[in-house]
Amino acid sequence: MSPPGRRGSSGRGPGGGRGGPRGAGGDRGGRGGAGGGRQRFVFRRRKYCKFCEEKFNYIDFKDVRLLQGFVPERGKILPRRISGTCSTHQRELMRAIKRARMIALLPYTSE
Amino acid sequence: MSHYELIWIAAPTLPPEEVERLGLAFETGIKEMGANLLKVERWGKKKLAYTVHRCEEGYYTYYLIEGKHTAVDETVRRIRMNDQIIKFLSVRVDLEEVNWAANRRPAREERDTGGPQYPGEFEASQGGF
Repeated sequence: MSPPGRRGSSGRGPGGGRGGPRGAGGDRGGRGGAGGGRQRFVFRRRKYCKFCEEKFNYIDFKDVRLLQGFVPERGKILPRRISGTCSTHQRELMRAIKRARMIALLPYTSE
Repeated sequence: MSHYELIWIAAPTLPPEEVERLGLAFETGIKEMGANLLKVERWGKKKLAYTVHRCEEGYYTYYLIEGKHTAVDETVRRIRMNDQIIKFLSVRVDLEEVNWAANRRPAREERDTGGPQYPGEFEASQGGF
């Protein structure tokens, strides 16, 4: 419940709509980069832990198709800053990937 | 009583009957030592993710064992002595977790591909889920 006067100062778009003081730039101004110093907003999907979503309590090292989604071409484990996996599941995932590597289901590295 | 998963890979140069014979020898050995074999899966000849002892492929066999660690230790010792086995892995597991994962996998594979598949297939689609 912020007062109407403060909404415009956050720089997150014209708070007052068409009649607002920032109407010159408008919504379209941001896309063309004509705003001049305005922060560019790139649409990014919010990251979330896929294992929490599907209620995983165990990540099986034999499930190669599942693990492959977290092992890019190079063969390294995808960091959680990219995949969005929570720390508990990242640890489980790491264990599963390392076991799969030991039994030659996944590569240690690509050539 | 604990639960263990044991996977071993036989050399691809062996004839399939020899791999079968080898597997039966291990299985009877495990049973004789008082352990139960809850699951035996032969995944067949699979491509390895990397070269092992100059082998590009191998015969995978999977066991889910219920029993004391001594039975597994003895089996691992026999596997180590056998030159025809190029790789193996034994891990202690929680039976509930393994069953949960095993029940989950077929459902997901049917949803994704329309049929069950086995581990070790590297031509999987990207994305993981």
